[in-house]
Amino acid sequence: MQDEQNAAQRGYSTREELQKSRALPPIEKVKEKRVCIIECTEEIPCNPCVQACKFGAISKEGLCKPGVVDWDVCTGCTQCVAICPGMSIFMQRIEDGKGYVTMPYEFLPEPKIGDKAQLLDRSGKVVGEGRIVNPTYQAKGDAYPRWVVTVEMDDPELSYEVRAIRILE
Amino acid sequence: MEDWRVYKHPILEFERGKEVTLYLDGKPMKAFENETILAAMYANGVRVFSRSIKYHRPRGFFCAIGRCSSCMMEVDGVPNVRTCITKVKDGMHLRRQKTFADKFAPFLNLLNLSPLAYNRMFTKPGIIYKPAMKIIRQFTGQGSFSKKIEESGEEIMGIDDEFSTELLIVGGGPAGLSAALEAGQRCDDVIVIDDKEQLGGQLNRQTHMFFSDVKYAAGKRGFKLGKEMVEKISKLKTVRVLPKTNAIAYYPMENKMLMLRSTDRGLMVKAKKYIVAVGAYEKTLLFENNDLPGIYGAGGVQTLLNIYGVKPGKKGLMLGTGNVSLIVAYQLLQAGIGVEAIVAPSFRRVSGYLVHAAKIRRHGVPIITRHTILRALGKQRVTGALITELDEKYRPIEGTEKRLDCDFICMGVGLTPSYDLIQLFNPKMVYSSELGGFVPVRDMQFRFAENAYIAGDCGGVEEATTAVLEGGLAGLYAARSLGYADEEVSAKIDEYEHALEEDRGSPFSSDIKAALQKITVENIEEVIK
Amino acid sequence: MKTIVCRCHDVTEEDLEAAIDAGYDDLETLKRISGVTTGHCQGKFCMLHSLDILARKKGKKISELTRIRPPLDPIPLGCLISLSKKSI
Repeated sequence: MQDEQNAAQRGYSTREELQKSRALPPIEKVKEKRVCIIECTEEIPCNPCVQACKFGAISKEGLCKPGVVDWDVCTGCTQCVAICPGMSIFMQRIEDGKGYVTMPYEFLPEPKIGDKAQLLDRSGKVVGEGRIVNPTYQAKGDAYPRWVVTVEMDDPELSYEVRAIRILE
Repeated sequence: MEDWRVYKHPILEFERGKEVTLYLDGKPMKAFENETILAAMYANGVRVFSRSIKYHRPRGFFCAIGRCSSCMMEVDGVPNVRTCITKVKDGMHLRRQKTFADKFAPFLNLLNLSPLAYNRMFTKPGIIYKPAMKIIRQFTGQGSFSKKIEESGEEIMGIDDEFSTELLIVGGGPAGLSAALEAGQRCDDVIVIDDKEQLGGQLNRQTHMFFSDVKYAAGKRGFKLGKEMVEKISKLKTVRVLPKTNAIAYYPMENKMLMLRSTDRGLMVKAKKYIVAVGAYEKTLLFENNDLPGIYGAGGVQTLLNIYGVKPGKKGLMLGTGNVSLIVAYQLLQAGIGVEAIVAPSFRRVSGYLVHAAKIRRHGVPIITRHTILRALGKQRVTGALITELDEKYRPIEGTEKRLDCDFICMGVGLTPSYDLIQLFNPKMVYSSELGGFVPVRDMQFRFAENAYIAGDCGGVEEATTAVLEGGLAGLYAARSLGYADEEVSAKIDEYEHALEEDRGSPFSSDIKAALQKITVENIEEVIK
Repeated sequence: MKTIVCRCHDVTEEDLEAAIDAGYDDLETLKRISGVTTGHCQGKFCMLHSLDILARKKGKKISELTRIRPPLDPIPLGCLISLSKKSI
C-alpha cells in the first residue's frame, strides 16, 4: 500500500519524481560548480526566491507556478536557500569524488565547522554520516536569521538524497 | 520539580521578565512576570486545572487563547478566571475549582448525577432546601464566590465611558492590523481593539517564514511581521489601540458596540463604520476521551511553546495534515520535542502544502494517512492514542487498531470562522465547508451589514497572507466610504485587489475562490433586509 | 469512556443522539434539553459538532445556526449598571 503513494500522499517527492519534473540539475553542472535545486513542485503563491537571486537565475511564471532554475546562470551563492519559506531550496556539488549539499538549518545545536552530522534523506532515514564544512548565519534584511549549512559526504551519490542533518554532539 | 521551560531555541528568544512566586492551593511555584498563569503552571508541571461539571473529569487547557474556557481557575478569590489570558502577579493565589469534587470524583461518577438532578433533589420540604443546597453546591457548578468579592462588589464596578469614532476595527490580528494601517493613513480617527495584551494575533506565534509576494509579507517570519505592523501603527497618530479589550455586544438599532476593557471597565463606542476581523478558532474532533488533559488545539500548543516558551509535553501526536498541523509539528521539533506521527484520514493527499510536509518528513516524522484516532489513552492525562485504518467510506477497519505512545495529542484539523460578533450585525449567515463554517454574505467591498466590513479568517478561513491583503482592502474600502476618496486610494485598492487575485491563483485556493464567489453579492442591501 | 461534545457542560455524543431520538431534533430545542452551546465558551467548540450530529441523524445538510445573544464574553454586572445609569 505504502509503495503506491504519490508525492502528495507521502509528503515529499522522490529523486525519480524530481528527475522527471526536471527539478534536479544535470550531472555536468553539479560537477562544474555548486548549483541550486528547487524541490518545490506545487503551485503555491510565493516568490521570495525570484527576488533573492541577484543573478536572475530563478524565474517564475506568475506568482503561483513553481520556480525554474537556469543552471548556467546560478552561481551557488545560497541567497535563495536562506530565504525560501518552504525550506525547499538546496545546493548540490560533486567535487573530487565527494558530495556536498547545502541546506537551510533551523535546529539546535548550532553548527560549527568540522561537526559530525547524521545525514537524513527525504523520508528522514539516516543514510550516512557527514561533516559540516561551511555553516553561515544569514540574517540579511528582513529575513530572520537562519543557518545555511553545507555538509560534505564521502559518497557523491548521496548528495541526491540527503536533505537534512542531525548534528552529533 | 521539573521545569518545562525552553531556554534555548533556534529561532526565538523568550523575554520572561522578573521571577515571581505564585501559590497553587497554598503551594509556592516559580513563575516569570511575562507569563500567563497557564504558562507558569504548565512550566511547573501542573496539568489538571479543574474538574468538569457533570462527570468530574479532569480538565486541562485546550485553546490557550481565551476561547475554550477549559482552563478556568479561582484567582485571588475571583472564580472562573481564564488562566490562559491572565498574566501572573507576584504573590497570586490560585485555587483549583471544585477541589471537593476532586477528592470524591470516583464516588460521584458512580452516582452519575447530572446538574439537572441536583436541581430536583431536596426541594421538599422547604426547610431542608437551604442546608442541602449548601452541600450540593460543593459538588457541582463552576466554583463559588468568595466572601471577598461579595464585600467589595462596589470596587469592581466599571468606570462608565462612552465615546464615538470614525472607524472601529475589532481584532488586532493580521487582517485587523493591516486594515488599521491603511485606514489610519487616511482617516482621522481609527480605533483597534484586541482581547490580548499583545496585538498581532496568530502572527505572534508563527516562527516560520511566510509565502506569498515579497511585496506584502513573504520571506518574513510571522512574529516579526506582527511586530513590524504594530510598530508602524504606533507611529500613526490617527490610530488608537486598545489592547485587552473584548467586544461584548453590538446593538444595531443604536449602532453602538459594548466593550469590556481588562475585566472591569465597560466602554460603549459608537462608530460610523466597523471592520470585523475577529479571525477564527480551532475545530475539534470527536473521539473517546477527547477531553483528557494533554489534548490541545494546535494553536494552543503554538501559543504555549512559541510565545511563552513552555513545552506542552515530551512527545506528541498530531492530528490532521493541514498547514497548521504540519507547521506545528515542525515547531515542536525545533523546540526539541518529539513528534510520534501525524495522523489524518486524508486519502487523496496531504491537505497542506507539500513543502511543509517535506520539512517534517525529512526529520523522520511519519505521516499516517487513511487513519483516524479512536481513543485517547490515559486516566489523568494522555499516555497514548489508539488509531485505526479507514476504508474508502471512512469507516474504521476492524483489527487494524494500533497503539501509539505520546504524552500529548494536538489537533490541527482546521479552523472555523468566529461568527458570534458578526451575527449580532444581523447579516445573512451561510454555511460553507470550504470556508470552514458559518460566514456572512457580503458584497464586493466586503460589506456584510450596512456599516460593517469583514476581513480575514472570520470571513472564510485562508492563509495569514490573504488576511493581510483583505484587511488592507477593508481598511481602504472603509476609508473611501467615509469620504476619504481620491485617486491615490483607488490606485491602492486596485493594487491590493490585483495582489489578492494573484495570491488566490494556486490550485489550493480554487475551492475557496468558488465558495467566496457564491457568498458575494452585488447589492448587500437587498440581502440584509 | 466518553466522547465529549461540549466541554463546558459535559455533554456526550450519546446524550445528543438520545435527545435527538427523543424528538429534540433542532438546535434550539436540543440546546435547551442538553445544555450544549450554552456553556462558558458559548458554543465555540460544540456548535459545529452538534450541527453535524443533527445533520447526520436527520440526513440533512448543515444550515441553521443558533441565535447568538450578547454578552459574547462574561462581563461584570457592575459595568452594565454603571453604563445604563449614564444613559438614563
